[in-house]
Amino acid sequence: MATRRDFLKGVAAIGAASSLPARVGAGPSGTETDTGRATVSAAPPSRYEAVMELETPDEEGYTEAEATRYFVEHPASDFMVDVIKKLGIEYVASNPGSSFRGLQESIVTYGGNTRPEFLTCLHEESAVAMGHGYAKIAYKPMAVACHGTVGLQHAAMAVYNAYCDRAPVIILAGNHVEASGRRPGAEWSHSALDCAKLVRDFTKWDDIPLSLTHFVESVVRAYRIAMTPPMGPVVIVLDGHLQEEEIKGAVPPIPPLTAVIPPHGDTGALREAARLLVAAQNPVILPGRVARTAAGMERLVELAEALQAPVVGTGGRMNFPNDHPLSQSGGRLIREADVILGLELEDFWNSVHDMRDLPHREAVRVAREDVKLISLGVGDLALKANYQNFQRFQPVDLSISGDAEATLPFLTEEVRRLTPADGRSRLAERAERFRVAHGQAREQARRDAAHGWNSSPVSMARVSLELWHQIKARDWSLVAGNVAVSGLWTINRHYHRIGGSGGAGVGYAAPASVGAALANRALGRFSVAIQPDGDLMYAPGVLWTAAHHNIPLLSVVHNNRAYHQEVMHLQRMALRRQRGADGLAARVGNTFQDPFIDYATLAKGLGVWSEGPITNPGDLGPALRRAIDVVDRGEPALLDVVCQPR
Amino acid sequence: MRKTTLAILGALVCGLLVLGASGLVAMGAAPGSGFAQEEQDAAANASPDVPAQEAAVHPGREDYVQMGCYQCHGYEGHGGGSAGPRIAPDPLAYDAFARIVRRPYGVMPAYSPRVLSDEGLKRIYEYVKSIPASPDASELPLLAGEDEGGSDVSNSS
Repeated sequence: MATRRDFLKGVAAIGAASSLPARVGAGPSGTETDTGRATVSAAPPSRYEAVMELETPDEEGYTEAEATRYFVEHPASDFMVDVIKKLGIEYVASNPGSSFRGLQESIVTYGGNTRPEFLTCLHEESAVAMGHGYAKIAYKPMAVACHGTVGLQHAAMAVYNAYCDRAPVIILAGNHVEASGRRPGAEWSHSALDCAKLVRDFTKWDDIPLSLTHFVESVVRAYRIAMTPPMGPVVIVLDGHLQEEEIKGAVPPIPPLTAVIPPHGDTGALREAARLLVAAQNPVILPGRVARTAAGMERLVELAEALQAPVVGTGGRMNFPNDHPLSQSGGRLIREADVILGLELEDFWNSVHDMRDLPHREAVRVAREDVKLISLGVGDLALKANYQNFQRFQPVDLSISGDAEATLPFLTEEVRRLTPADGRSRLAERAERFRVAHGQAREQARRDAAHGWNSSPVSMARVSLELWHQIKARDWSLVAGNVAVSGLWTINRHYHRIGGSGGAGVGYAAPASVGAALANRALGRFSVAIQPDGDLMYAPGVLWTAAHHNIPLLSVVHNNRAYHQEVMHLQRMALRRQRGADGLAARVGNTFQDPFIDYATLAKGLGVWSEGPITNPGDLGPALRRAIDVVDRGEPALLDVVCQPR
Repeated sequence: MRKTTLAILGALVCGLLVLGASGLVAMGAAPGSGFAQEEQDAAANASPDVPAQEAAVHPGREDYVQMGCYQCHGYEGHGGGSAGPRIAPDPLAYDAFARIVRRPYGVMPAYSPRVLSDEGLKRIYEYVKSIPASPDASELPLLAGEDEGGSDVSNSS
């Protein structure tokens, strides 16, 4: 018996070349059916249909022509899954959409829904932000499938955050380029000539592959580009027709993914930087997004110790252990510095200036006029014009383009080589000075934390210390939010904190913490987020995703019942105009009152264990213990804590 | 005495200047902030280790909340991290306190007499002054005996 495949070899060309008119009612020759109703089509059988009627049915009752018409044996999206698997991509986060239905089906059935696993998301912004948080823990990209124009527009804000925060995410945007093949209606409004244009200003690269060879080459290229510092999101526009087509002929080979070697700074310039640093009396190191891995933090410690230079964090990444004596706060150190080394520093200008939010926006320089500024980083390698996330231009004495984490060993080696033997006593004096200052700062933090200890709303210091007491013996990872008294936490692993949103686009913390917790789950770490209340309400459905996929995460809601930053901004405006007496301007549009939002009930409705609102500080510790028990079972848990504004 | 006052003032000014670099901050009012009733309920139901909040009924507290001082300095004047420094307990002398409110340095917005009367300012000061001493850190189990940890508040991200 001829098989369907045998038939396809000989006759597929006929079927492929034929038109496929719809025949509603299926009555022979367009006459009347058994029901007596007239069929819609009165046209004579097409050549295709004539072939179908002549063929012998296979064992399933279909002629080969029927099979060609109804079925696809080897869809191209199966090969796409092979490519995704070969790249080691573990997850495809997505809010589903028909423009990638072919890929979705292949992931689940052909791919077995494992590596990659399809993550059910309730908003595209959540999906991309999950990928953003995941990448900062897993050190590799997650794929995110977005549904054409509508899905990518939903995703756009999270894409911008990932771009600003240099997080690799591979976005697969479904689209139908070939217009005559689009189904009427939504498939048109969901398609675009240039789908990736929407986010091109804040992605590193994009492409529209229209063949499988083009697809595999583009995806492997996209992966490499996303992972090359400065990292960032990339877009592959996934053609809907291509996904659903039968594979024609042999599939193309999948190129091997070779390791990305980050760009290294110029050795001559690094020697000059080392010379300046060694000669300095008061060198200061300002790291931005430096440490991607444990090695990044270790390398920065080595450089700081070689110089006995204080390291003043600027946010962005967990770069330096805060229990190290050289971990210091800025202020006076910046003012007295004679050499400042900025590492992957996003905003050097703001580090040496102070712009106050006054009517005339005064800016004053806080650093010495004769300070030598050295910049090492990859920030200049991927700048784009439109979106202004690159901050104000700061002239520097030495600007070295190169990945800081990769370049630090050479710089440290040069510093050691150039340090004179008789300079050791000076280094020892510095070390002692910073050891004393470090201890004093810690004791001050302890005293400060006691203020407002019993207040209700609960002080953020109390929240931080209650939480620290519960997690400090664990292998923990703070995946979102700020610790009010971080000096009283021991924060000395590169995953203890992962930085913020990058673009300061609200709505990042909740989904990014779920994505990071997913990556931490595989590593056996305990994930905790101090979750801003307003941020949670952008797309709270991500809580359901956490519950559905059994992602263990403790979320402690910092519930100050407001977009508090905006409360302060509006109060500033009203006071500046001398009409702030009743606080009306600050309240309207910025606060969550009448009614209050019940986050615990919200979480319960999404399948997440929760308690709250907690207003009595004495209730917090026992509630945390109950929540941690839930997380230890592999589930998410949420505590709603009514907190002081800051 | 004047030298001491100026030294305290200077320290506060330095603090505010440093805060300015963070790009945060403002000081303001939000009457009906939504907390007052609930926090009083919490105080009434507080566990034995939570003292009743006498400060909540101080007449100046309403002005303090009305003018939004709590937004940056916290309801107990304990400070709001990078948003605003601690102002209680043991506040500055009234003259220094009033001067900063009327003609602040750094990023704090000015409260003119048109917005906050002298009488209102005095009531706020009396409230701040009435805030009881904080517990001794060494007597709080979660703060006593903590011998690990770092020192700075910004390095870790």
